[in-house]
Amino acid sequence: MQLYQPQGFWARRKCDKFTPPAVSVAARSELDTMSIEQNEIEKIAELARVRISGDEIGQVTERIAEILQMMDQLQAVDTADVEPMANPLDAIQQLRPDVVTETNRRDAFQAIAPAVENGLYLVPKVIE
Amino acid sequence: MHTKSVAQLIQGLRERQFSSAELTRVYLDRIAALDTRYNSFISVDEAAAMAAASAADERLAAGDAPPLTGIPIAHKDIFCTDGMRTSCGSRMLDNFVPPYDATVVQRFRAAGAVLLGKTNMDEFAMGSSNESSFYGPARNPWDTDLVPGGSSGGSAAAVAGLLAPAATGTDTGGSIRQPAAFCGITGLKPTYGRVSRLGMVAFASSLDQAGPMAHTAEDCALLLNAMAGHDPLDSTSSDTATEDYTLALGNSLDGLRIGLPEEYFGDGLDSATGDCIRSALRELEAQGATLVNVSLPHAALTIPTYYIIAPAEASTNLSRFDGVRYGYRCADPVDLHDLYTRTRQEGFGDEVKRRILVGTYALSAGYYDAYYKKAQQVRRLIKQDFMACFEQVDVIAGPTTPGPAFALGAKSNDPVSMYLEDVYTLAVNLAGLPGMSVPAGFVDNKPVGLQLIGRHFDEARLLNVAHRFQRATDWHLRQPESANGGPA
Repeated sequence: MQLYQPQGFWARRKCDKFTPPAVSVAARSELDTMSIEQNEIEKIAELARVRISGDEIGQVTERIAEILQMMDQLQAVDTADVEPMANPLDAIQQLRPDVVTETNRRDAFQAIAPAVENGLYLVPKVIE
Repeated sequence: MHTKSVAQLIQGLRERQFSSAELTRVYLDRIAALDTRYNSFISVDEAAAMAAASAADERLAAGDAPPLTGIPIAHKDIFCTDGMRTSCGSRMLDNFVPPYDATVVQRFRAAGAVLLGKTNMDEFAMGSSNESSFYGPARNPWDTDLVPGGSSGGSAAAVAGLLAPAATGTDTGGSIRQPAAFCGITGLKPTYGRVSRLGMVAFASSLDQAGPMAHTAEDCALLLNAMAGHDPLDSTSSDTATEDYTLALGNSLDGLRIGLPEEYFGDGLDSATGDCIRSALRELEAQGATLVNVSLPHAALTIPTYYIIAPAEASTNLSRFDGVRYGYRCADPVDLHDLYTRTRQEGFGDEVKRRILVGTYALSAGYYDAYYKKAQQVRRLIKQDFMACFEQVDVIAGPTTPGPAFALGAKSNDPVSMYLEDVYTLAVNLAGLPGMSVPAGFVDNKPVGLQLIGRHFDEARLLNVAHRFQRATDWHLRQPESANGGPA
């Protein structure tokens, strides 16, 4: 077993409050017969910020286990020298001059928000 | 009027046989009368449609009107429409009224088209049956106990039911082609990047592509002319030059080499559906094309590859729905964490949540290499298979789906069985190629679609093959009884 370690942004923040919850994951050698436990689904749901109610979690785990089982077909393919493909045309990022092109439409965008005040988006209190 | 093609309607408007206001009224009345059966529209704005039609009639009278002026169309409810709800089939966006138009919508407005309304779809385009829509499933006009396919099922049902002469769709893994096949219409997924994604709610950004759905290949060409082109606001849109997609429609098929992948004619294919496809291929052969057996050795891996990459990208894209800036927000959140998790629990449906979880899992530390990177590597192998075929042939052909439309409810509780529906369409998105579905016959009064796959940016050739096929056949002209007031 290895433990998820905060990386990049989260590590630089050095801030426990914003650190994603630690997820214990199987090492690569345990992947051959992939199965997923209910507590793993609970951890993934927490990472994805999706609440799954107690009476649903069993069925969700079952369905996802079936999907993951299907995906395990890939493990048999030899991809040793294959470059991963992120874009079907292998396109590279297009750049544009760094100039302001957008007009300020804050009022239009705030008009469709659930809660705003003084031009700010409102959320429940985060600092005690 | 409602049985005419877009090309015929353009001619009728130009010859003053009828006005856009008259034409638009016909379709709005048909929607009001028949869409209780099909549930193909989520939103219809009669007043806006009639105002746009009147404006179109003025432009037509002035004499300098662009090609689609006065033609009523429907947009899939995934395209942002300024001032008109864009739900994406989800409770999450049930209250979302965008303050801007998608580039596709803007281009159709500029081309003079009249927007009838927004069509039903699987929630966030995740589905192959339209059953995951928050607004209830759209139904197949050929038999309303059958699914219309998905995710662009509402667009397909609206066109097949003659409630709109044409509609837009989006295709991430088959979502234009599969419903086009199930509903007996013509649909084109262009090359990745051919049509702008700006303002199209993102599902899987390296796969998503918008395209036209209509009765004929000629109509699809007319719509693609309006849709295609580089958009500086979409960094993945291609700056490859566009063309007039109607120009090559009538070209001869003499000498055309059509590849038939053995993997697309194997055990999984319903035998009666296979017979329709083979008969369609004989017609193309009779017109001078040469049929060549080819192979796509990695075809069996497209489903697992796709169902890693698409949910991974979806889990990232759908992280924006947080109940803060727009869309659904849960009632009385106790803290920020509760706001996020409960908004997403209540706002997303089951299939969307499943894909978010699968995608989050595939991207999480420790699994990234085994799943996501692995899938991206196999994706390259899948594309290489196609590139090797296109050294031998000009177009690849086969069935769009393993069989005709299935019954509502038949697969809705079995995600893996639903995913298998996309077995012949997914690879086209993974490789970024253009693909079409063309009506090619019936099995027990259920339409069958012939799939045509082309080289990157070779849309004109696909449309040419489809048009020549449609000049020799009448499958695309058949109408479901329900669309003419008969039994559904």
